[in-house]
Amino acid sequence: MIYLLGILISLAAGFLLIRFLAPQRFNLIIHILLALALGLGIDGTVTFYTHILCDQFNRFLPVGIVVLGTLIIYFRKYYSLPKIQMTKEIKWGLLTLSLLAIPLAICAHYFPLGGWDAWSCWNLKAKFIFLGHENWKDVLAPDFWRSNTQYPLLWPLINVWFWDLGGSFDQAIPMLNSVVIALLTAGILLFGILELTGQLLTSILAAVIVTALPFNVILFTSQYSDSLLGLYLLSALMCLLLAEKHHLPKLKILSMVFLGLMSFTKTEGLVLTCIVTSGFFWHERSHKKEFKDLLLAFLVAALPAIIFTLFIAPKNEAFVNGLLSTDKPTTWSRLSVILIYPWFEFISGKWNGFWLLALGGTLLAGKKLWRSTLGMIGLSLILYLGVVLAYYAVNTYFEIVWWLGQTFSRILFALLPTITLWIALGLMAV
Amino acid sequence: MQKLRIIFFSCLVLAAGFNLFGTYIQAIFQLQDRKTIPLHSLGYQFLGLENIFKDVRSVGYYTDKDLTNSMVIAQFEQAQYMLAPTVLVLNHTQYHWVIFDCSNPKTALETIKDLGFTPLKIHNGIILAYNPNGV
Repeated sequence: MIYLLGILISLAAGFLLIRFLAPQRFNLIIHILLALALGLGIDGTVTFYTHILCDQFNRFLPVGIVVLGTLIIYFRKYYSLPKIQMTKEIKWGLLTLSLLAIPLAICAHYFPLGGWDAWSCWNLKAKFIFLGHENWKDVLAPDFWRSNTQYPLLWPLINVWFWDLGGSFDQAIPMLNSVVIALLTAGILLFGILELTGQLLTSILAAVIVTALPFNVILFTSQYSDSLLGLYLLSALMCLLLAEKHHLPKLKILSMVFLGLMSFTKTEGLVLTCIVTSGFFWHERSHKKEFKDLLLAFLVAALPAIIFTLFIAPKNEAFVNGLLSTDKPTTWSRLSVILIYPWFEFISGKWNGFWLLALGGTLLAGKKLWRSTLGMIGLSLILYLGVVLAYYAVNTYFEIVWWLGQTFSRILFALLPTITLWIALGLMAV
Repeated sequence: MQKLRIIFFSCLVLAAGFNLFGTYIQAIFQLQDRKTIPLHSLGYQFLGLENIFKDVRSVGYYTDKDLTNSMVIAQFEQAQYMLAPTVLVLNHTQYHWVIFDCSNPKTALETIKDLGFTPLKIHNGIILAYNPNGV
């Protein structure tokens, strides 16, 4: 019940903030899905400012600020309760999401503690922040190097916000949040493609291929921040595409907010944010009037990531610069493994042929994928993968085959919804 | 080109159906699996100790197990998760409380005796000892 209350508060906060930022109406289902994604980000951001920056370990404060902010926006401009018209498409979409929810819920229940990095990194940080009070920074000590102490904190802070609301630590919260994030990803993909192309079957296929892949189900329910990164990337680009299709420039502000939030999910999210935001601004270079608002929205949303990275995050203990190190230099054999490994990953059975389909879709869509906004998305994804592979080459702390085996599939997993959106839109020639 | 598109969309339908079928099979297996999953239940044996460590910032965690074995590391990290926000300091015994997680209880008790500690609690194969000179 408490969890449901938290979801409703987050949904209301996100919904009203979207209405406030982008008053023009757009598809209500997408609005609701984006609202919950944004609401969770607001929860995490407020928890960052109260718990971490102000050292206030009063559990009512983060919850109270979100509720108060929501009420202020509500009373500033009264919004009537929206009504959803249950069209055939919406019914099919909701039925698909229900079908996807069942295996996700079972898998989340099967792994109550999540995957290895959930209990050794993400949820461990959440427990320290929630229960450790002024000593929470113990988790950033060098002894915890295995917990990736330099990683941003949005996912742990979202869980802490729900624990604040409930008043106690509850393992069910990250478990339920992981399912909600998976369903939000599927929903935004499904209803977004439907809105952009009008093709119900394509929308359902895209959502099912991404969310019903057994390997993805396990990663979604592993309680890792990668799924949050994937959700915010998808949300940001969906807002941009909807803004262009329906001529709603204010939605671009929302896109910037999602990119800002993405920077606080993981270090990889920070890198991806820099790349996509640069691409976004390059794409928007002719709209000079909007530039200031977009930049401001981005900076406000990315502020926790900036503060954390510059002033709180300890240095990465698991880093050796292979370009300078004589003990562990970057070797040709390391480089060749990095160049060969991804191809074996792409044909690995765990993806059920997804990458072969993606290749087929890319070839069929052809040049349409490289024009205008889709081109910007495609180039951003390629540049990001290039930067990630370069990092594998430069940081020689870990043995490369083991490291790629542990992490590369998660990098791809976070990109999967966006890649699916990109190819689907290319094929439907939006 | 139109034929290729039809073939591609047929492949998409098949892939979606295959994924959905696969994920439901996986879910049915998970529902029927009554065995414990070792990697994901290693930390449960430490449950209960958090009540003793209330307001204790750091405790020692002593093990004679092979720390290059990923299961041993997993057990230590899950123990850390279960007992957070108390920090477990690996193979340091200078604290008031030290958890002994040894390959067998006899070895653990001998080590505790050699160090001059007092064994206080045997908890699911884990021994909690008190170091009177600890910090």
